[in-house]
Amino acid sequence: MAGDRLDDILSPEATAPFSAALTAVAMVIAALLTVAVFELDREPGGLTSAVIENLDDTGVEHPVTAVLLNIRSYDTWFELVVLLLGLIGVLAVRGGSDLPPASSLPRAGDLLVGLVRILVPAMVMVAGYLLWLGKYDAGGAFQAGVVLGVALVLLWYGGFPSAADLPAGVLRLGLASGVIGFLLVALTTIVGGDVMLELPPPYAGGVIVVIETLATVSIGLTVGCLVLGLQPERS
Amino acid sequence: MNTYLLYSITGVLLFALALYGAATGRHLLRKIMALNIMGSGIFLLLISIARRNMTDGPDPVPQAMVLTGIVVTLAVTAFAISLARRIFDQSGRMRFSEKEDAG
Repeated sequence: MAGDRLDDILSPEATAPFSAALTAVAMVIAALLTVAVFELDREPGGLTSAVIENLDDTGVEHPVTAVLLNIRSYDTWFELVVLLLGLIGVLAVRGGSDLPPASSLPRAGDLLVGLVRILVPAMVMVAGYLLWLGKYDAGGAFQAGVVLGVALVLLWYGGFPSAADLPAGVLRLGLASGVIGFLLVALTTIVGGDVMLELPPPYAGGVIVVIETLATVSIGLTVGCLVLGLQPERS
Repeated sequence: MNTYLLYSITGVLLFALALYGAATGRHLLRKIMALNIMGSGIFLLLISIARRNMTDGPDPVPQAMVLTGIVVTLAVTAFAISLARRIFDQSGRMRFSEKEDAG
């Protein structure tokens, strides 16, 4: 039964002339892009040196975090907005019913419950570590947030209280906290500084830690709610 | 043939393959998977571009774009799956096709 469904998904479906034309189009695109890759400038350059030169003013020590949370923080802000819009879309398409609470699944097996008891505390610690690590090395709000989100999903599957069991107000505030944090920083920098989201170097490190923490919470909750929002309704 | 070119061209080929898959597949899950693979091809290309001229280390800007892109892909995929589920719930079908089928 499951095998039949997989075959159904994987079987080629386009009619022959259409398929042949698309094969040609895909091959032409692959060839053009390959030529473009070969043509790319190979001389030293890019934005590496620009980022490294200004790293001292960004308040963090890792160049990728500096780009995400300071130099191009616009991108990160709107990315959080996109995440929220994705969740709003999922909830809207779901048909207006609430996210499934912990009690909506049949009782989980002992193995899963035991695993969740061991894994979730470890995942929260890993998320905290990844968040802290972003300042110095590969890590940061995104990685930490996704680990938190998966922890919420595991909690739900294990029958523990998860995102949907939070009070509605707390959940909404948590979901929006990253966007709100960026908004407050933007307003403050408009009023108190010259350029929106331009962090003064002495405060940059502290502001980034706060923003990253808020973003981690909101990414974690959003990822958890996205998965819960895809669960079929049970009556 | 250095590592940069190997990764870049793999990314390009993944993108083109998945573009073909997204265009020819009529099953909605197949289209969604193809879109994800297209994204992975683009990410691989961007990450390898970040390393193409190592002077002070890899370029952090494309890396940050990929990091952002992965999370956006997650949201887009979840939204696409929820749309596919709604289409299935309402029509009983999981594919765009002229011929009638039971999904």
